[in-house]
Amino acid sequence: MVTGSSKAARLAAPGRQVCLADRLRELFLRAELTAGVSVIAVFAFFAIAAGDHGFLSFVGTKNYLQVAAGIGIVATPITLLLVAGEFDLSVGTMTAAAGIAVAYPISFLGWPIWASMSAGLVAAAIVGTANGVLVVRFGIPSFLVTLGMMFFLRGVTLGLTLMLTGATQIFRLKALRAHDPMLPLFAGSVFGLPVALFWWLGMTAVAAHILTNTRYGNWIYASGGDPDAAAKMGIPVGPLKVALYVATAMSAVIVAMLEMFYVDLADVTQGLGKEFEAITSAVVGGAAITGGFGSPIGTALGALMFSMISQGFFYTDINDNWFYAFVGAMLILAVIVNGYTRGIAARRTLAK
Amino acid sequence: MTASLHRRSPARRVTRSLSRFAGSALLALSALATNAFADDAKKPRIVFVSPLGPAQPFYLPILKGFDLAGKQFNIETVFRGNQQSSLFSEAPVVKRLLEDAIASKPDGLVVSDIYPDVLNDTIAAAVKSGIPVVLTNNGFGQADNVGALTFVGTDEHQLGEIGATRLRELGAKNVLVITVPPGIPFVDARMDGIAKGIAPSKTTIVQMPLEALSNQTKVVNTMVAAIQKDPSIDAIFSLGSCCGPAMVAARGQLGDKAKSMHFATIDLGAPVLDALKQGEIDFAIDQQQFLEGYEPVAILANYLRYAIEPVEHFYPTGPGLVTKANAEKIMSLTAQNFR
Repeated sequence: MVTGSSKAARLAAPGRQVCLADRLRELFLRAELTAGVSVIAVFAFFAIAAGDHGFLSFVGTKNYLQVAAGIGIVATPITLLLVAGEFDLSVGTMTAAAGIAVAYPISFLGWPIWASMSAGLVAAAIVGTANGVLVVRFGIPSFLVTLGMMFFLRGVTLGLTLMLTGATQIFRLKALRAHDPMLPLFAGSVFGLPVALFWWLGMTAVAAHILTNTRYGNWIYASGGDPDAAAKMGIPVGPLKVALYVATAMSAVIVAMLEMFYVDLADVTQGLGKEFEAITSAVVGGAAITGGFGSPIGTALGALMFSMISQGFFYTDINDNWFYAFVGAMLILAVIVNGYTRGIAARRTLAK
Repeated sequence: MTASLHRRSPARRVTRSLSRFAGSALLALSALATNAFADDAKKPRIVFVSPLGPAQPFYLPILKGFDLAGKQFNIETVFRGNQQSSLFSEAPVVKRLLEDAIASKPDGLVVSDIYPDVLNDTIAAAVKSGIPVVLTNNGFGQADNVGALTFVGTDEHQLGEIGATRLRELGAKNVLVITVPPGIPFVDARMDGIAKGIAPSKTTIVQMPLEALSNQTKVVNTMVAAIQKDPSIDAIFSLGSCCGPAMVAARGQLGDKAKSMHFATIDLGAPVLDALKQGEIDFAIDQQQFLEGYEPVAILANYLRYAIEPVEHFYPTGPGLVTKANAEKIMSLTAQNFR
């Protein structure tokens, strides 16, 4: 694990005097920085290719930042899960389920947003706990557990929504709660920027803090790095993972509410595929699929890069038929830039 | 009766209505049972094979029509479609569904012939083996090719052409068309119709990747991006029910610019109808898809029981035009999934 966090590196050589050059190299080893280089490369590409079509404008910027927030909010707890060595493929479907769980009481029961949101959070807690307990208790690979949960949840959401409402969409929610004090938290904007952005930044900051500055962070690293050793050291690996699954499901509630009030619609099919966008962002941001490593800030940059690529495309003059080819090529290129930057820094360190 | 009830104590009223409910429930049950005993042996079974399903809001009226006709004509109706996703199942998936349906030896088959090149041979084989088939929703012009009794639905080309023509007549010069990548025949037919109807005005086409439809924020922001890239765009036309709500949200994002723009869509859904009522969408082209579920059962029931055959091989269910003027009346019906 050459690419450990700076804290881990310091712990490894406690007595050593660290000079400036070392610190710089250490900085370049950080996932955040290499992901940052990729973001700058992608941004530069679009600034040149589509700058005069509005990509650089305020609206253009807002456009991809908002999409990035929708991915990033979910990808943040996913990163912690990945670090702890687990997957969650059900989070995209959880977004749809949460959307309905929140929209139904608003639309049909006349509940205020706080109460409806609580309903969504309770639903998320149940799903998250189920995921976590199944993974921890039965030792089934989380890939399979959450894949099963994805299908199950999708079916339950569709079936229940049709049963309760006779439809698959619930709409016109904003007008029902126009004066709700909680509405600006999900539908407002701050300094002209969508509020989703601040949720995203806030969650990234909290996750980064937890992972690097608290003992829970060390527990998460340890659980993913060597679960048996972690358990022997007395780290509550099981409850920790369950808590992370609950946090992931709850993040889906936040995303669901932000998107629900943006489009004024909750739909049983929303959020499909979000799990892969989230995992892609985390991995681009330096997380290891095998566990033990990851960075919330890197993930945020990964989400930013991913959304810049997918939304920026529509500002270019490239024919839409090439969308997937373009996204795929850009992603691979960005990951190469990412790996290259990290590689240079790592070689320098080893050569010393 | 009402007056006498009012004089009774509430408790007695409850008991009385409860016992009456129980009585009527028993009656209904026994009626069901006799029905079942009387007709079970000869109740025909009709299977409906489709690339879409209840997760797609557009499909709910079709399913409603299918089940309602089943009840009214005393037919067992079985739906075999995409239960989970609002995206179209791929051709091989639909083909397998169709083969499974045929293997179950139904008395009649309803098929949404979305991929004629892939499905027609199988459908024709079913017809040859003696299963009467009605095409519905998808399959305009295919009834004769496969030997189906008829096709219930619309000429997709016409839906696109009428919509585009109307937008042009409203004064649109550059219409942003929101669609999905080409390759699905009905999508291509609608796009051809739009190209024909819009001239001499022009279109700007944006293809949403299919899975982006599961992220409405992306759809909204892509529309906004397209208009920012080309400010001469003065109308948005959604190729299907996928993007109606997103179009309304994009309208909100566009602010003052939206006031001079036109908004239209093909196909209805509850959110689109509501937006029509509010005047946020100018018009929608309707294909009354309820009939696409209902009529095939009616046609097959009459064919199976009385050998009544449709003469025309095209049973048109649209296109119809829905605007603010008639949206309200239709809206009250949508709640029950008739539109």
